[in-house]
Amino acid sequence: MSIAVIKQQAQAIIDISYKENDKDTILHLAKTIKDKVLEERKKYV
Amino acid sequence: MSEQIKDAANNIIRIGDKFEKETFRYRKLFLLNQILLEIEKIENVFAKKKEHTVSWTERKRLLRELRIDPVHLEEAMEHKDIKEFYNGSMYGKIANFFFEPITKKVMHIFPQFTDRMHQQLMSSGMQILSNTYLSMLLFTSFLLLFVGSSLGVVIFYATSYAAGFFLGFVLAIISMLAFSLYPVYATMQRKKDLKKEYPFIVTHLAAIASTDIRSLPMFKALMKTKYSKSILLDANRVVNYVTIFGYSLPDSLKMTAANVPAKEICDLLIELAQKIDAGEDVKSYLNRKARTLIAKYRTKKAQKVLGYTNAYRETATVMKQLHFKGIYGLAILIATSIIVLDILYLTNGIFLPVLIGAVCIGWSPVVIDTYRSFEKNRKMEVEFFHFVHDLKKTQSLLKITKTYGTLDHYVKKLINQYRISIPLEQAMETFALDTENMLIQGAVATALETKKHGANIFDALDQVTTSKMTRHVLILRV
Repeated sequence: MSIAVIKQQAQAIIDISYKENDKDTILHLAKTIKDKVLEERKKYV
Repeated sequence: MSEQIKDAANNIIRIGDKFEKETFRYRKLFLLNQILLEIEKIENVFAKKKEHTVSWTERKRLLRELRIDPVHLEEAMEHKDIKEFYNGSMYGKIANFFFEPITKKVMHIFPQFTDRMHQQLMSSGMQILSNTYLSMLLFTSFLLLFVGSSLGVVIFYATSYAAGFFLGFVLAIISMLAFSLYPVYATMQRKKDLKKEYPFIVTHLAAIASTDIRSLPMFKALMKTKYSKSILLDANRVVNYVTIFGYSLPDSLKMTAANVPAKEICDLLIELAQKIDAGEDVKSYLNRKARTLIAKYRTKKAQKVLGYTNAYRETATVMKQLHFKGIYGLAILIATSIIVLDILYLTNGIFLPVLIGAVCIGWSPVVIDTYRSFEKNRKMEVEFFHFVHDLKKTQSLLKITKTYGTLDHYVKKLINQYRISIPLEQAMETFALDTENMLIQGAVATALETKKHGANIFDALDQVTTSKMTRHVLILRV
């Protein structure tokens, strides 16, 4: 279920921003979430 | 920075939870779009560049050098956001909430019916989506089926339960028919209105074109007219097709023409599209057409019935502008008391004359005020006509020396405002609002719109007022 993965990745973003504030990792995670959402979106359009 | 990221990520988790619980497809889609917005926020945190700023002294120097008024600059920056957008009705939202999935199925099963309904809604000018309208139709019928059946069972419980259920069924069918036929009725009304206003729409367009305004600004200016609401919708559609959807003006005119119920306006839009496509002179075409149509209208006007109908419509328009006053309430109270006493105590012989007298008393303040407003408006419009003629001649507000009767007070205020350096546009807007006259407000708004596109405001004001006065004189001359 991709929405569960999306939630996990959002949680990962929170964890990283607490610990090291790694710009590249956060942006990579954001991009992955975006791709997954766009993929999920196709089912409902 | 990290706070913004954390907020956005928390929002994603929250939206994800909502998404898992949601069952409606369109809501799920909405939530996914929300997640995309949150992602955008995260990306923007890192994408943000250092904004270039200038010091206070440098800003002051630049404003002075570029001759920019800081107040105007602030206003212009505020106007960048779109503040108005279409918002659905609450009833439509409730109907969609319960019936959207069924509506989608109905639309899939009966495509011809829904296409026809969509076409009718577009022509009628009703601002509602066809699927929302269908949801409202189903929701209302469903409600009436249950409410009607319950009421029917209570009313007919002594005779038969079946009659009660039958009542609910009949009410549901009636609501379905009413919903299906209302767009047809609205289309017919709009068609009638457009046909009636056709000569004046062309005259108005010709007046705008005479100020050397061409193509799209012509329709933007038409949108400012206070009369004929039906044409506002079509002018708005043309402007939206060009500015929002990026179509060319001839294509936009043709697409708008496809949904206009009146054949005359449809032909006018198509002919305009062809003229613009071929690069021909729109101004002379519109002037020629306006002259022919006005001549035809004058001949038609010989029929007295048309004159009386117009006078009735104009009176109704004036009545709509009246504000409720204490005296109206008092008159209604007196009339109601007389009617109640009449019903309770008076005999048959004088019952009817007293009733008529009471109705007359109830209506008298409204009728007197309507007549006064009508007279005041007429005088004001004649004075305004002279005023704009003088403005066109002198080309300056400060050279106006004449007096203008009922309008004089407003003209003096306008000139004084202009003298103390209030921008002409702002002073004109205040002037139009102060007069509370539809013709003046419409003419000023249209002229100001043409000014935005480079026209001479005084010439535009004269042209537009003349066209509006032509309409007024023709419509009200019985």
